[in-house]
Amino acid sequence: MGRLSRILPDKRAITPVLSNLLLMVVAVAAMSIAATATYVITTNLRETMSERIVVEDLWFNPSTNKTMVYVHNVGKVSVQVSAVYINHISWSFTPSPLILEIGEHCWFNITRSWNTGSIYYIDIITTRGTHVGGYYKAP
Amino acid sequence: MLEAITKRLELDKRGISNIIVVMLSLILIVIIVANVILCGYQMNQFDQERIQENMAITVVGDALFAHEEITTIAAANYRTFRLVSADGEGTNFDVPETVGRHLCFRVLYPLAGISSIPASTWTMYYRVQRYRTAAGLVTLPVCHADVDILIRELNGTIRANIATNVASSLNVAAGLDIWETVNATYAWTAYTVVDQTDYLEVDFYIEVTTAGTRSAPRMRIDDPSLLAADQTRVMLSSGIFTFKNKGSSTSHLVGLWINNSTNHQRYVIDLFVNSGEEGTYIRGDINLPTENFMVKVVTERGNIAVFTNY
Repeated sequence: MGRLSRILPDKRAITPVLSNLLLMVVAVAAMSIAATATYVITTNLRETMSERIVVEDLWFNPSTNKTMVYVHNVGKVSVQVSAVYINHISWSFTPSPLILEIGEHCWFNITRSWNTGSIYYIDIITTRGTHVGGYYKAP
Repeated sequence: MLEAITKRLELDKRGISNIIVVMLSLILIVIIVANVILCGYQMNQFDQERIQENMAITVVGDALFAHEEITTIAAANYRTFRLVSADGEGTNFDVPETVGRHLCFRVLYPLAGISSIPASTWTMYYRVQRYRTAAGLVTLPVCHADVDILIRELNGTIRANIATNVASSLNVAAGLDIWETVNATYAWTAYTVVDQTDYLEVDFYIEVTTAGTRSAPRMRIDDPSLLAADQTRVMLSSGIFTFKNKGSSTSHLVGLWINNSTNHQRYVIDLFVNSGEEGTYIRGDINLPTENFMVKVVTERGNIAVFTNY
């Protein structure tokens, strides 16, 4: 103790050092949170803005009586199809979950039968909220 | 000046911290805004390019029909292959009744926009007849049709002799003055186009093996009164597709669809077509449906051009 007193004769100096250190830690933490929030916000925004998918083909398959949709990810981020609506009613689809990397394309089947001559509004929605929809007339 | 600012800051240290906080906040805001604006700009550019893209499918076929239109290269005249059925008035090419291999006509197809011709079985169809040349007793000549195939350069010289005296049909069997369509196959091996100004040339011959009397053979092309199945042509067993880029930027074609009532089939393709140019794509594993069908081509940017054969 006596040795410590010799090293630190003026104990009043400890408080400003600690306060400065604490301030630095708080500032760094605050900045880290702010930077992370910035990254998350901008990444989400950028990804949502960069989503582009197209329906290359839609086939009312007469042999299965199911609707097959061929989608192509032409955007700059991978997409996941989260829901499919036919005439504003949600229908399940396979494969599920359907994840398309950049440039990928594939079929997916909607488990709903169709009737000849009927018109269907088919809406495909991604997890980020992008809609791709259109009217299709069954042959 | 700098000294005065330093002194002032030393006096009021809280000012420094305020400035740092403001600066850091500004940097964060700038990063967010710049990121979003940059991304928006990129995607706007993408969308603009996509909107400006204008691709069309001009011709779809699997047969080269011999047409009477003339193609002249190096002062020599040739007939012309087209992917569409006969639309002329019909032209006969008469040959002598004497024994020998007689050239009827030579037909060209430009290889512009074609990088290679895949291996496939070609079927040559010949519209032929043994006709009366004079009054009196007739002996029909014994004859068949065949072809030479070669690649001809723009300056008229031959780049490659692909095949000679191949795709020999059976002897013409129809009676005097009766038209008949005979055919024969040829196994085409893959050919990589050396120069896109070259032409594919097919020379149609009638070979008389026994001479006739007062009767000679002949071949007919470009007769629209005939069914397509009866016209003089080369069936390639391959799909031939011609695309026209009417847009202002180069298009990259990545997908080709052949749809009919029983099947929707996608083929992966890789073809670039410059602005204002035409590109021809030949695919050996595509056999076009015989009934109604639809062809779609998909670009890398996600645009789709449609061609219907109804």
